[in-house]
Amino acid sequence: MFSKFNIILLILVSTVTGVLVYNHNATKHKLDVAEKNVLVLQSAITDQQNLITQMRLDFEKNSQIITHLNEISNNQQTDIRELRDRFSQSSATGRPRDISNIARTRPESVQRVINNSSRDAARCIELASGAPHTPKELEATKASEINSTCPRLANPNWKE
Amino acid sequence: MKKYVILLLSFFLVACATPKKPIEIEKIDSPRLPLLINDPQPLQVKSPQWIVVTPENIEKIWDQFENSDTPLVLFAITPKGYEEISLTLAEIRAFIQTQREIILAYRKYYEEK
Repeated sequence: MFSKFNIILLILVSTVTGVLVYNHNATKHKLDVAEKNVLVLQSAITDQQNLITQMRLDFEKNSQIITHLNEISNNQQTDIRELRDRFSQSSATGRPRDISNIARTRPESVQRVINNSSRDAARCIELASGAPHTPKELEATKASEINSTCPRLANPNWKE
Repeated sequence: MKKYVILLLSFFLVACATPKKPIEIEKIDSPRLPLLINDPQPLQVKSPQWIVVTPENIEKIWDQFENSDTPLVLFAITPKGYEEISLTLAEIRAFIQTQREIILAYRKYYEEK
């Protein structure tokens, strides 16, 4: 029924068709995988960009906080230095101040100064622990109005 | 009797034949519970009344105490001691303020959206 030639032809055509179908499927599979990879990579790029943006924002926040804390620390050190100077600074004659002598000769004046300073120091501790400023403290801008013990903490609108 | 046994067994077989659902585990990211701690109340500091005592005014001060029913006792401090107390209090104040600002900074950094 079938000649030898037809059989060989049939086998050949089948083989070629099989190979073509196999190649087509393999290529289609590769394309599918490549498409999926592209989607995964695009998603990863988006995630990375979001991460970079978040890291940049975190860094800025970090810098602001550190700057603020440094400012507070500098103000504190200045207040403490000024307080130390008050005890030891030179008088008009150039000699170091001796509060013992001053207290001996003018006890009422020294008593008044010490009590005012104690009151100011107590208020400074209250403010440091989180007490809100009074309107008077916020409005103080002159030397006579400020808390002389911690002006940078007690009177934020005062300029040196 | 055999019929009933077979019928009973067939019920067990039916149960075996029921397809089982696969177990699905779904992971959900739940945010951490916020730490609910109240802030401490700000301090209310009473400042002491200082009296400067010298050999010249000590008698006057004792007289004032006697007239005002104040016990005739003074806790004394030298000028140097007063200086040390003042500077120590200033350091304590700086420390309190720094600690508070650090806590507020952490809260702002981690809790602000």
